[in-house]
Amino acid sequence: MNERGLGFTADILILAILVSLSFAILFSFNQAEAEIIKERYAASFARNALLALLNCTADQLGGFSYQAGFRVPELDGLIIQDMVSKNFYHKDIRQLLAEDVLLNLKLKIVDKTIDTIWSNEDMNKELTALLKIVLDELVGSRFGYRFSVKAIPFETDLAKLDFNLVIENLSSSGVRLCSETVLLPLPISNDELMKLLECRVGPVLPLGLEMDPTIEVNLEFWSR
Amino acid sequence: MSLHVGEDLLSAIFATTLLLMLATATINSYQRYSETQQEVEEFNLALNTAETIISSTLAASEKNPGLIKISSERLENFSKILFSQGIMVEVEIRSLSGEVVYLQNQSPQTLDGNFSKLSVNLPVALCWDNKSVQLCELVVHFWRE
Repeated sequence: MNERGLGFTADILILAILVSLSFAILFSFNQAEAEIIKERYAASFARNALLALLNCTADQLGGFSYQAGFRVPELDGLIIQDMVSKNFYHKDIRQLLAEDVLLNLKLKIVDKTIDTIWSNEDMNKELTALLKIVLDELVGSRFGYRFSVKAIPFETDLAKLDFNLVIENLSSSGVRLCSETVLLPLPISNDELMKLLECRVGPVLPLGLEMDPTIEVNLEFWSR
Repeated sequence: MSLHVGEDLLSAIFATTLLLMLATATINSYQRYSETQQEVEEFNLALNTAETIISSTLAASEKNPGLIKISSERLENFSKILFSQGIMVEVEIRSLSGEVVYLQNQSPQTLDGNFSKLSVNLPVALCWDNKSVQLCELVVHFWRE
């Protein structure tokens, strides 16, 4: 092979490498687009799953019942169990979550949890178990998930009233794909909540305290 | 200009072979790229169709997003609009246990031509007449000519 032949072959090789590189870059963009569509589907599935779940009535999910307990402040927080069990077949998950939050709000004063305002841990347990079964069936086979319900009606330096519920089914190597949030109203007025707190702990709250009567329901999807 | 047989000819053969290999690889890559692009585009379209069915065509009320009520008439009208654009859909609503609650069949088996099929599943809350709401899955089978 003479010098001209070698130069010609080298030109062709460089051209081949350049064209291959440009196609590799183009193809990587294509792969990124496929990832975006996967994440878009996950986001759409999460949004629809969250909305559908909140609208669904408990009877269609098997329902549940529990015996309510009432805390009596005058008797040093003694819990009196209701003799009649409460059935929640007709209510939707949105209502049940709102009730669960309201009935299981925890009051903390200077990092020390006092107790729940009412005592309905049984409802919380039953509802958590029901949601776990439904979410495993609806989402579990496709994605890992974290379902959380959070409410902080007020928070000051001295005191905090909050509720936190987390249900999850995640694999150790999962990556977060999307997160969808719905805000629900807490079914109690500011005045009612303030009166209730004053009744339980006395006038510890500053006057004119702004309440945040919202419940944040969040559903995250993670890769399997 | 003189041709050196056995030297320039060899380099010409080598270069042509390289060019052919490059052209084959390029065409192959481009075909894969086009296929993926088409799949992405069709999936986007199928997902938009399923979302439109949930949020508009079968929506039970504006106050409760995600809540649907079966209406064969509204689905048929929507299918006709899609059909005019060369798209066919088959809508299926399944319970969580996999039981088919509703099926609107419009598969293109009787039609001529090539159709690529795609399915999209999304969760929905199905409202029954007795106000009971069932958690279901909407499956949209999607064909495009």
